[in-house]
Amino acid sequence: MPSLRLVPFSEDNADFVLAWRNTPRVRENMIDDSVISMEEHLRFLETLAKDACRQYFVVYLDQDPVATLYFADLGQQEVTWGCYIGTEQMVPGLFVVLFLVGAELAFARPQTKALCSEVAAYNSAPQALNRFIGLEAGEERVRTTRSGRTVEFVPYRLERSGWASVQARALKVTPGSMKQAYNDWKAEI
Amino acid sequence: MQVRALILEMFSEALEATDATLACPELSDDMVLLESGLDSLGFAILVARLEEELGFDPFVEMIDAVYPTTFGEFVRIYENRQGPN
Repeated sequence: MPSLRLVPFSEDNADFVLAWRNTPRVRENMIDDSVISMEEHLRFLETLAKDACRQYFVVYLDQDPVATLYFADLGQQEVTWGCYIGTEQMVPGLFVVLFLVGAELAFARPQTKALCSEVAAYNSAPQALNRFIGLEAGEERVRTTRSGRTVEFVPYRLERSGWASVQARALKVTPGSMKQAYNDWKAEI
Repeated sequence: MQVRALILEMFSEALEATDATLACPELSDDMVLLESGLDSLGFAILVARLEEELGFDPFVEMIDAVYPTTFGEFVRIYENRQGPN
């Protein structure tokens, strides 16, 4: 039975996290789309350790790191989340379960009223998932990335009151293996 | 219906459900799944639909799950679990 584990970013996982983060596939969907050095990443880890509002995790499926999941503004009414898949293997349902775990972790905090995200308008996979599970898109926002590109980002917002129905829709397209992983995920906080 | 034929049928359904199109003239065994035109939602739909039709998700039962990279590997995972038709 597959198991899902969230492990905080640390020096132990810095090598592969940085390798994933610096792939063009991941960078092109980020507002900070620069190539990050190990020195910068380690400085980021130091900042992260002092910031209770942000949490960054490596997601392990069984023993293998497969993705990242991260949150900002934890403890506030609006929590922002994001994720990216690192593995090159096709793990059916992984993206859906990252959303489910992300929402569950955010809404486990009683202060959280809404879960927010922004997706580059051309990043079709998350757009498709968000549409499919019934998340409403907000008005597109034009942003300038760190490298100077102008990119339209689509904001999404999930209110706590809408979580149960969105969760039910997401579970309809979650394969059995990922449902089991979702039912038993753990975070090492 | 043979597993391969069912997978091909469900693959087309998943493409349609996600408004996607096949990124190659036809699905061959060496087609890299991530380059097939089906996105992550599409694969979730594909495996969930196959589970409805076949009654199993082969990835549940794997002790050390081996996830496919190509279409041929994907089909073989189902064929191996299903056994000979």
